[in-house]
Amino acid sequence: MTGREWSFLIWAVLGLAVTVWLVATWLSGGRLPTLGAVVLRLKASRIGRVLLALGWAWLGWHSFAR
Amino acid sequence: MTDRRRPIGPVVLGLAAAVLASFTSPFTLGAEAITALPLSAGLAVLVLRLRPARRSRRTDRPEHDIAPPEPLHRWALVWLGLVVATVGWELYCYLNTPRSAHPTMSGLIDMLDARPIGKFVAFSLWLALGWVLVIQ
Repeated sequence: MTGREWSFLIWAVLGLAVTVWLVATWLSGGRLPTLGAVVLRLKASRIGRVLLALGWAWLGWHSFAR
Repeated sequence: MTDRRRPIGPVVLGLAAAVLASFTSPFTLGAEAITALPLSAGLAVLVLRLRPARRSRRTDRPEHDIAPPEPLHRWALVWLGLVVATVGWELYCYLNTPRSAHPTMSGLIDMLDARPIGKFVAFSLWLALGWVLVIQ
């Protein structure tokens, strides 16, 4: 496998892990914290709000403007 | 029934921005301008949102008036682990060359938004994410 293929494989594994955990938390009936619950908890603090906003800003700039 | 107002104005503005963004290419002034507009608006809203919290700290309200947030569930660490792994891999790819062998997240998004309709969808999703994370 080439380095590029390894990189894609690792991205795919990360994407799969996020998807599996999203589904698992969603199906847990509240026993596991969903992404929404974690985001809400983060938004309850000022530093959490700032980190979420910076992450969003970085994602947009990196993806669309560079 | 809920009485929550639907944000029609921001949705129309967001869709218009996504249409404009769909005709831009990265590393151009147009792409930077159309990305900077919602980005600066979001960060301005964030600053305004943080101001009341700063003011309330100066009041003489007793601390027990402010309900402490509930502690995070221990399984929330899985989310933290996934974020750390993703950001770590992104940084590794970003700092290594050749770029073709180390595609970053933006490289993956480039594949999805190579056509205007793909960029329109990706930009709209980014704006929606900003609405949820920053504005709401």
